[in-house]
Amino acid sequence: MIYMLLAVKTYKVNLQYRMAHLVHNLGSCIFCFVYMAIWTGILSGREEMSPYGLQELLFYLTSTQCLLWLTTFLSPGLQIHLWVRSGDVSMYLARPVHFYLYTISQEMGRISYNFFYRSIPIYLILGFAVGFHTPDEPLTLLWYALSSLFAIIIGLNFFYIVGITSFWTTEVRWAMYLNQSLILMLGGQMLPLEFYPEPFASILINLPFASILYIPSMILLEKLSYDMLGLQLFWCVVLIAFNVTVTQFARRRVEIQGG
Amino acid sequence: MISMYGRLIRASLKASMQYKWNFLISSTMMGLLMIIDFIVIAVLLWRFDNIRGWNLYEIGLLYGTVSLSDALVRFIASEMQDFDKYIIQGEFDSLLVKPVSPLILLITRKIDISRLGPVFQASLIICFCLYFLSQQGQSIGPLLLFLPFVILCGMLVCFSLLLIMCTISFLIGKGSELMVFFYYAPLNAAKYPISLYSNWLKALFFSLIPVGYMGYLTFSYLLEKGGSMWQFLFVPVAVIAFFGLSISFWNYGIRHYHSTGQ
Repeated sequence: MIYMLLAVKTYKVNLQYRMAHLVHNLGSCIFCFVYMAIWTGILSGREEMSPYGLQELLFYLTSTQCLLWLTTFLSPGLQIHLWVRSGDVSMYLARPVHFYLYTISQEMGRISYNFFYRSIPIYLILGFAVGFHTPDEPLTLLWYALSSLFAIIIGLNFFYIVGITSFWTTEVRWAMYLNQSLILMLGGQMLPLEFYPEPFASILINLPFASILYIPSMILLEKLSYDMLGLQLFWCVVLIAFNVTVTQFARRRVEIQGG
Repeated sequence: MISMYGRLIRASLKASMQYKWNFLISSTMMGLLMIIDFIVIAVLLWRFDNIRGWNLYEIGLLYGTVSLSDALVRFIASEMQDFDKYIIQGEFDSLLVKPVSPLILLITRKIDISRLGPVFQASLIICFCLYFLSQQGQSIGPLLLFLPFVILCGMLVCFSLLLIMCTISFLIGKGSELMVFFYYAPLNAAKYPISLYSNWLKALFFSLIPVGYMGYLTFSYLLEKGGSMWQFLFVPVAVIAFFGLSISFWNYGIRHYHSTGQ
């Protein structure tokens, strides 16, 4: 299948840089160690003030740090803005494949690569530092995998929205920063959403950003039930439908740059 | 050099103003990304009051000054962040044949005007924190007096780290992947009190990647967080020594540079 082939090709391209990426992972771990140190500083001697124990929060941070590489640190705008700017987009739109699926499947190759060469090494390094979490119920791992898959789909669709914006604006740097800012802050990367004051916390949990980092990590910690998969699935359907529709509009709107 | 730099800033501003809204929105969004961690810390401290004796405004002051130093260096020396291309495409050769120091040429090639957003927002955090510290009865005279010193020390550390990264590119070709480990992650760590970290991280931040000298030692003395006068006096010595070392390393890199371009 053509889409699978595209994903495999992107995966192989990324393999060329795996040594450099492994060094990069050490920096990513330092980011996480900083957040872990902040939480340790905050909770030492006053764990009773927090709905979660320190160890649970350290596992939470480990999970979000690994998920970042599958959902949040993707190719900026899925590279669509580069194709628009160079005029190459005309070639991609002329091909007998769906533009949305073409773009998404390319990035899926990169996400698969990130899973093996970013998330797993980061998980191992952080795990050796703070311990490995094993859920009480083995089925939790299945729900976590499913929740992470939904998180990837939602993350990908947010990046697609950023990229497709370039059909109208050409420049999408501002949209990339906005997208990343919203995912990191409202997705609960460092701060689980319960810590926000009410009613913000209840609102944030239902927004799609929470489905990217917070919900999968809390499912792994068995603090949220698998019922939350329904909410994630809802956001997947909404975002996919939105992006497919916007792609139709973008096809009509396209202006070819370059000569 | 300063007049050349002034002209460059004017030209960059003029170019950016051709796409006024894009410039304004990009700068704001770039600043937003920087400010997010601070908002998260503010939410945390709203609930927990302090982190090992540092309250929100004290952490904010540290956070703001380190962010400001970083933003100013990336505003001034933006090409140093993207130095790989000079090595991989052989562009560095063109800097070597001119009768001016290649480092000065590199710095004056381009400025990143969109960094003005983070500069503005970091300044805003500093003003906000200084105001509330004064409301809490903290004497802000010494803080204001030493603020330029802290920012300058921070800028020198940031600049030295970038220079070392550039020199590593001479040796291995593609140094950008090391930026996260040697620059972004340590700078993120320097925005919070170094006393929070484990011993191996503390050792790293006061030796190989000396971001601990950017603001932490000065503020822990001025805000009476356990810092001593000797540590405070040692800051400029350590920063200047690190800057000197990075310049020597850069010169070593240039002597061993082999062109890789076509």
